[in-house]
Amino acid sequence: MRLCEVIGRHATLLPCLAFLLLVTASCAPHIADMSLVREEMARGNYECAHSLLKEGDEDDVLYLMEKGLLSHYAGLFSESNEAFERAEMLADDLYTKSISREAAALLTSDLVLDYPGSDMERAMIHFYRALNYINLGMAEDALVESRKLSQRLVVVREEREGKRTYYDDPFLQYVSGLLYEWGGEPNDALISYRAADRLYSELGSEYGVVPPPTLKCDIERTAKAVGIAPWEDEASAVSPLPAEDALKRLDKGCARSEGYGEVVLILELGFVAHKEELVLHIPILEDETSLAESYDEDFYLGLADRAYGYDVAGREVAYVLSVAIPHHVHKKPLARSGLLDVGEARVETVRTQDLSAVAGRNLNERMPRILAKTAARAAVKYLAKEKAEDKWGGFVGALFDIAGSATEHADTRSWLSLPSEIHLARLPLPAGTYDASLRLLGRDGDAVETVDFGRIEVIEADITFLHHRGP
Amino acid sequence: MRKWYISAFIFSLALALAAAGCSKKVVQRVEPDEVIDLSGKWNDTDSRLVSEEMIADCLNHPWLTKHATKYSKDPVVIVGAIRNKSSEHIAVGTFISDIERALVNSGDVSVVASSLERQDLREEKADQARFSTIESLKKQGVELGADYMLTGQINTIVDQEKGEKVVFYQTDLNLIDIETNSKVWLGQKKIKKFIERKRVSY
Repeated sequence: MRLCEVIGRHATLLPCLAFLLLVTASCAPHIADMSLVREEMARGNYECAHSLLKEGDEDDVLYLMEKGLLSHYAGLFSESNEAFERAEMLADDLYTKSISREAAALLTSDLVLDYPGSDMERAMIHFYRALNYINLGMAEDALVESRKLSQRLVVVREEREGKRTYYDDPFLQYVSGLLYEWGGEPNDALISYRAADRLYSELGSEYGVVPPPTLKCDIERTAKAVGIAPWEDEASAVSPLPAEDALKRLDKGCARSEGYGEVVLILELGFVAHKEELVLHIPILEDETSLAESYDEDFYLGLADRAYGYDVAGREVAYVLSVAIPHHVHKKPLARSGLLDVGEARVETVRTQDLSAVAGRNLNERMPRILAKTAARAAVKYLAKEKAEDKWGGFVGALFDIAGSATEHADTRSWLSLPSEIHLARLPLPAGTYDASLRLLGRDGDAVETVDFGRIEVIEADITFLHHRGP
Repeated sequence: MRKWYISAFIFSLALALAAAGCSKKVVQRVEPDEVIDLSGKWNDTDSRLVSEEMIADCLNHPWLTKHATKYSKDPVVIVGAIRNKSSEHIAVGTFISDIERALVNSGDVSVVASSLERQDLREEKADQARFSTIESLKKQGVELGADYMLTGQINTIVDQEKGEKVVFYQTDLNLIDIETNSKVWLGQKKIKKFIERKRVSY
């Protein structure tokens, strides 16, 4: 049969196959789009990085999150908030799953599904929006973000009940408490500080993070502000202190001294771990074709295990399915901490958040499901190709085969401009103006970067926020 | 012969293709007071309705007649800070404008400019003193002092589970006698919204 006759007989299939190839063409990995942007970010050229971000789809949550964060670093705080606001709204709307898209995903790739952002990414939006409002001098709106963050974490807790990873966020709870306290809402601050304290105990060692050294004092101070004496604060995780000791502690360090303000440094380091595609080959044996055709669930779940290696000795392989799954790639930040000097005072930052660790554990948790879905999809593609071949001949079967392989991509999407780690330092100081600088220390203790913040003003009973992103 | 996977394959692709081609922007003009709820968040309708209802309630209370009896003139009110303590970015400026409009349009009270507006006006008068003609010059030091200050806050309580969300807005306004610091009227308006998102669509 001549090629043009075959095409003529199966003209109705061609738009579908063309669509598959279109999907494939639009599936350039997000990491490839972001590589130049990340290079400029690593050099600290945020305006350049912002300009290098390709114009994207304003209905794409991932693009909006990247745009929001790059705008933030470029100092375009209002533009950043607009992008984040839209990302939030669209992510909320993606609660509604499209059956047609889910079906298409089962037969092509998860990349046809809209990306709503992970729980961690969606929570981080509020963190950056709060920083934007602080930079814009809109404290009331920064507090709105703090409230939204608290609500978001409640939703995460409810949706991830029983899960071991990212069921809450100690760092974001702490930041929320910090903002509430700054905004004169000690009751809400106390609740968030207590949550942070509990979560650092539960998750700190798993994620390799520690609470800010001031946390116990923060709890005691806010507890006192709402009329709870520290030794009566049984609900908090603070070890009960004898009344006399607790009072001394409050007098010495926990209470805000008159005439004092505070400097808070938020230091971001490195790039969050990203996902790359790993192609796996899964054998289907000759005597398993009936199981595959009957869509036996156990059979498909069992296929996932074969990705890690399967001995086919003495058995006939009917087909080798090629599947693509995501895996994590992570490079540790160059700097391990920062030394902040404000006037004569010095404080070292502590690692309070490890976004790479969170992302890595989340992917591990999801991996069995990803593998099962990927293996099932590969099997369906294979069977579609077999049946197409039976019905319409080898040419159409081959087209199905090509389209099936071409559309098989792992979903490696994630918010790539996020940092790997976030460090924090709090430094109470008498009100006044000071020279402030930061020295980033590498793994060997040598300075890898020095930052001059210039003259900063510390205002009584207020917080001066400093923010820097380093390598 | 079982052909479900081929049918599903073609059907889902056709649906996805159709969905991709369905996005089209439509713009139409609507009446400003028409109620349109899109996201379920605080919107222009909430701002207008809350301000109108609360000010109507405020002007229906005895403090107004007591003031008229005591001073034989309309009270002078200034709208002070109304704090957004909610979990939404509410345009408080618009809400304050709605309140001022409702107060002025009632005809029962006089409303004076806010401290920021007064600053601008004083600068303008200082400017006039240098550059305007004597006939058109506006006097300084004859401003009307407010008798009462209206302050308040907007709070929200959010309850959410899966695709269902209830947002409870509570707006509290206080009218305070500036001379005595006594609160002469306390108003409260509550709005409850139920927002539901479907789990699946086609």
